[in-house]
Amino acid sequence: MPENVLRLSHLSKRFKGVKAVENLTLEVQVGECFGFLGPNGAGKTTTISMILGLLRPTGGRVEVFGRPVTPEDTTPLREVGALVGAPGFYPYLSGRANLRLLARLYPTVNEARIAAVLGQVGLEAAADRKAKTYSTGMKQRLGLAAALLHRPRLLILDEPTSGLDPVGMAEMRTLLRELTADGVTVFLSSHLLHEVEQVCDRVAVLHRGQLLAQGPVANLLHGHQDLEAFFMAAIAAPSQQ
Amino acid sequence: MTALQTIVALTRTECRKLTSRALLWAEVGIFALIVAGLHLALMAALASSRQQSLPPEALEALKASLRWPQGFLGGLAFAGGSGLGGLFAVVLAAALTGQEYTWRTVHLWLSRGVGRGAYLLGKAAVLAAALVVLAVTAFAAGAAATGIYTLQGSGSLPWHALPWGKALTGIGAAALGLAPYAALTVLVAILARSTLTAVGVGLGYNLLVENMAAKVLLLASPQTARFARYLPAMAGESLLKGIAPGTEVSIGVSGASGAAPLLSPGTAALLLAAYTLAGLALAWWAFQRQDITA
Repeated sequence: MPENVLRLSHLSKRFKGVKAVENLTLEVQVGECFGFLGPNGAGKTTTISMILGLLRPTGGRVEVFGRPVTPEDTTPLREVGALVGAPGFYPYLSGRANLRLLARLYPTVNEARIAAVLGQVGLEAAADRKAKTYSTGMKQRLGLAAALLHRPRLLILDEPTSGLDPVGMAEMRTLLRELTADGVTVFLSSHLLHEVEQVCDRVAVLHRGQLLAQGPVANLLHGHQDLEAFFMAAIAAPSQQ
Repeated sequence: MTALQTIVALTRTECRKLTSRALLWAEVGIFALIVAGLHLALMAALASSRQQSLPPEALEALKASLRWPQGFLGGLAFAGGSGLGGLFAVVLAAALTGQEYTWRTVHLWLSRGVGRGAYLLGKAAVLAAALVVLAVTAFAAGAAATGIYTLQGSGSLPWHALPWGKALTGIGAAALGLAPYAALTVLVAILARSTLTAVGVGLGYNLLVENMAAKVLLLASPQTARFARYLPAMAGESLLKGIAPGTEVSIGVSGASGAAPLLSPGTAALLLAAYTLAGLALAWWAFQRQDITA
């Protein structure tokens, strides 16, 4: 039986009475690339923020590597790399210096590893420039480098291709394939359905905070031309009810 | 990594973050210039002909207060919570805490398994060190200015007569006097997730609320004047004057305690520590319950 890396059980979140996520249950298995889809405002970032202990769920439970994650105890996240929204950095430090700060949390991360991840995301030439001079795409690459720094077993990416040019998007796709081939589990939230279709094994579709569908990409595509057609049909169905 | 190792790593990280910023060194430079500049301005005024109208004894006492050893600790008066030190401490605490929200770097740490308590503890430890740096700056700038004045007057410096022990305890007392303001600012920065709001509330409390409350309490009646002693600024002044008496003859900008009896240094220190811990405990409580939105 495959091991669950991430399990969400009846997860809910309300903001001042407004339901952002409602009764969400899903499991991500070791080594898979899991696509998390939904239109704007579906609750994807809210869900990811709860997984990362940034938001307190109104109800339900988050487990990472079989251990509960709460805002009070985020210990299991030490083996998780995350890129959520626009990544934050210290603007007065260089990209490399920002990674050095984070590296202090991980005794195994040394200068060679920092150089390696900067190379992996194509940022080695700009590594010693101050982060405030970076373009949106470069910040996104630095965010990915920070997520990969400590060789996480689970990588959680929220719109990782945001701000990347077509070359950067293709590089990201290759990188995700390499990571999953190395055994890293990827939880990928994206609007780019074509990207998700190409790299993910299973997907879940969230709409207005509720899970509409989940399963292997091949199964969900049955009867649909592509993932986009499936997605449009999935989110249209509850609207018609 | 154990919890202790994480806290040590976070403290080192906070230290690196602070020392890499221009803000700290700009504050230190400006603070030193102001303290030394005000000392030198007073010395120049004393040397001018207009001051010769003062009785000779008063003039000599004033000059002696600006010379070593008496004036050695004079700079510490500026480090008080109600003085310039308080303003610099508020700005530093607000930037150190509030900008983590603006830059979204708080997400960066918390989403990688760093406990919120450990994160705040690392920040508080480095902020405490920064307050000591501010106190040392005020002391050193004042000591340098009064040293020059002494050298000009007598041609030598009385190194043997300098109260180094009092200087050390005075620096600690001044830093403790700044701590409640820093803690209040950290609390506001967390609640508002904003550097500007934290600076505004911190300075507003320091310059308006506390000053006004002190004046009202002092003027209302002798009974209410006794309550004024328990305000952070007055407690800080009690502590500083109690353990480093050289600071009371300086040209500090505080000095609001004229009409109120001072607290004992022990009571004042406990009170300041209690205010600081209360502020940090509230900040910790709010931070633990806070939703960090994307």
